[in-house]
Amino acid sequence: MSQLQLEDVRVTYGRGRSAVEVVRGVSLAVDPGTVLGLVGESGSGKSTLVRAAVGLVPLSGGRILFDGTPLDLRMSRAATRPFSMVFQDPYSSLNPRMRIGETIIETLAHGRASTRASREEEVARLLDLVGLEHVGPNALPAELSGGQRQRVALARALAGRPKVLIADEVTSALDVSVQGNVLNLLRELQAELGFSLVFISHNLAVVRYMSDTIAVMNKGRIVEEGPAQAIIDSPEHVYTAQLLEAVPRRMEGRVRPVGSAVSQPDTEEEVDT
Amino acid sequence: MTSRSKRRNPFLAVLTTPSGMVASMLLGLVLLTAVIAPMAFTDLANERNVSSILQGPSAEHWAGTDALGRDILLRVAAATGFSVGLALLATLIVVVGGVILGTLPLLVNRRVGRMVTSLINMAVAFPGLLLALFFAVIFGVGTHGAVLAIGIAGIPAFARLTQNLSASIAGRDFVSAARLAGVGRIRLIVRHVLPNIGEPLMVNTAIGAGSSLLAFSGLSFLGIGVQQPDYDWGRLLNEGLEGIYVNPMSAIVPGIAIVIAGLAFNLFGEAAARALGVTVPSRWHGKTVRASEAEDESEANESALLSVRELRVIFPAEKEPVEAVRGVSFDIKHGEAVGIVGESGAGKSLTALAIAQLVERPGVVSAARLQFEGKPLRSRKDARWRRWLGTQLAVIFQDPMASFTPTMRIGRQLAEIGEEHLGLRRRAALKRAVDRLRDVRLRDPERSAHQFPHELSGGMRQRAMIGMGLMGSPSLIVADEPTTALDATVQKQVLELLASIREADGVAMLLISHDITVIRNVCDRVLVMYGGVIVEDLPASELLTSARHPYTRALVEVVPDMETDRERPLPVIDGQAASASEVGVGCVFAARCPLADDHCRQSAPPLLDDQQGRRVACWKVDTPVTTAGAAP
Repeated sequence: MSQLQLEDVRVTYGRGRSAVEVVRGVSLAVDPGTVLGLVGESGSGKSTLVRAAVGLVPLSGGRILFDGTPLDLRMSRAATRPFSMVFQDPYSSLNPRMRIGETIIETLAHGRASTRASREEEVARLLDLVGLEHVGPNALPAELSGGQRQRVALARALAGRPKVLIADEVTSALDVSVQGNVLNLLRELQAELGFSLVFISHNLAVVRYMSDTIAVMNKGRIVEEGPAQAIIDSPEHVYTAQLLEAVPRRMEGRVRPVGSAVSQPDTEEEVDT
Repeated sequence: MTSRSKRRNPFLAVLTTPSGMVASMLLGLVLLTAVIAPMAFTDLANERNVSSILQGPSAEHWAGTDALGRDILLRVAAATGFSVGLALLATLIVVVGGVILGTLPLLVNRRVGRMVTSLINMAVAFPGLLLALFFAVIFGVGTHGAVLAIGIAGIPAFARLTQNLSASIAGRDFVSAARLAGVGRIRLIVRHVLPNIGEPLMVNTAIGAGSSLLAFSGLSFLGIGVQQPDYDWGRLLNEGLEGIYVNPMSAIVPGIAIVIAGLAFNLFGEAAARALGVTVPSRWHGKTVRASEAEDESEANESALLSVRELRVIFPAEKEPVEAVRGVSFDIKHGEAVGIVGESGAGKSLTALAIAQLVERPGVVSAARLQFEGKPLRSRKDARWRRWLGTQLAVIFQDPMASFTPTMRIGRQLAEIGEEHLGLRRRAALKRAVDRLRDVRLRDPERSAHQFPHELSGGMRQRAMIGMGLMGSPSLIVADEPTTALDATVQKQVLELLASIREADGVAMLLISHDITVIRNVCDRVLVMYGGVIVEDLPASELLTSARHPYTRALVEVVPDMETDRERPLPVIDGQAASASEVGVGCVFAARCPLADDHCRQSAPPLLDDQQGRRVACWKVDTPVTTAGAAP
């Protein structure tokens, strides 16, 4: 049985005549302890989809099941969901006025740990887990680098002992030399703690490295889904093939100039399902 | 470059500016008087003396006496407590009411929130003083009525401010994270929203207190504020006005008191607001650093299109100036594509901006040589030179939306370049603009030319930007992260477009990117920058196979690509990318380098030329890195 299941999920922004359906009936399943890579370009609706899954954006249709049980669709019940999330920009996802220990405790306080001592112990354990033992709970976000902040965000996400962790473009705001550290950490923790991971990125190479299965999203729909290597080796959908083609390969030659004839103008507008 | 310097408490920072110091002293004086004067002078001020009624200024009564023979100066001093106290009380109502009403949309559901918002917007439309008068009549004449009236009349504006500020904070991810963690709405506001909007709110509170004081004096002056036998400044002004022909000081002194107190609050608020903004230390500012201005002719390379020697970009900072680019030298030949790759803080974008003469103050650029087509590229005042340069050197930025004027049609903006730099007529310029839009493969160039920037997609906008660069006939295109904001499929198209422009016209290119694969696929030669210097210069084709600097080799390894082994952890570089302010005496990469020894940490390696077109700055060139791949 799948741990997280999305059934015909729809999200609409605006209402009346100006309403835009951003997520158009997405069905997805994540098995326990596996990594689902969700790849798509800007505006494909991938971030909206997961924000809807965790309850930050209201659904306009469909339902979300956890361990086979449908979750309350009202957004105010976010607290009851066994999901947590790590956001893209570590400069925006930590409250600049809160010490990192407090930030983590805030997530704990609504979970299990009850006494002050046990909370502090738990914070120390989490900081140790993400490799920030030398930083300590009293640091303010401004004192930390981007990579360190993202580790704090990860510790906060793990504080609620999630069954499903959602990582939304977690390395795209980081320098490439720091990206590897965060990806390695995320993989280690996933293997060690056994949570399911939904890993979202526009970078196909990163998604390929992180994921067991890959779902490709375009214009609010999943156009292709399957085992990671199979998607990479033999994409079936034309859009997936285009995405793959756009990733520069290691042994490939230089970018070739487009022919003098106006061959394929503005294909970005024409890609459709 | 992002400034991560810790923000000081703005109310302490206020004290360090001259105007802030004056404002703080003035405010301190007003508040001190408000506390002490009523205790010290109230009895004396109420002492009637029938023998000296309505007297002018004298040695005994400096500002004269009123109709009951009371000393006016003493009465004004004694009224300070009442006047300032009531103003602060009204301000308290404004702030509490404003914050509650302003954060209400975050507490209630969407529909009610929207209603509250439109209610606030409607109330803001009424002038504050009109509202105050209206409420003063409703609540009845007297002190209580006036406090309530001024308090309530000030709420809408403050609520709107709170609402705008809190809406921007509520959209941040840390609020989403807290909501996910199950943090309640009240706690969300108290812990996450209010602390982050506190500073601007406090500044506006200070200014608001000044306005309340003025409004209160106004109401009392009109006779609907404080009533006898109580008195505040407005009341005293009213009474003094009756005797103004006998004793002008009886009206002037309370007037001055009102002006001083009002000014004190307002100035303090303004000074605090200014201190909130980022300030540039004034000591260093304007002291232009000049390197050897004499053009370095020693190794003049006649065939180079662009020749850069010892380029430096320096920014003033609190302690000592930060050198963000620290002596960069390279040449670009005609038709050559050179890439600069590096992480944030490496100085790559500043190098490009310095070449394009676009480094903004307070940044200072210096170079031993900066030549373009054999002519020095220093910012000449000569208009003809600038016009010529505008046709020869094109610059493409990361965010084309920011480079276009949002209210002008694309075609017009391109045509303007043609009129300005090529001296074309309006019609001819527009025709050339449409031609260029066709060259950059916009599907319907005539239509696109009539569109506004926001009507184009990101990729089309970036092409239009490139088309704008092509309005002249550039021999060098400087592109700073031209595809970073674009999706992979669109990025590919834009890179192909740049490649075809190069092929067709033999245009040279300087491409800046953090993405090593982009650089590798587009450029002939790569400059690898780290900590403000070039650490390696090599042919792009050899980047993967024979890079010699440990940083370059690591940079190639750390980025996962489609061939990366999924079973093994990614190789990593320990530590953080160096920032220009932290660079010490030794090699810039020493702190993160697995090969670094004491020699590396103590002396910086020179960028050595191997006479075959490759340069590298490393003491440990070609030593195999054995520890690479070890995760921390």
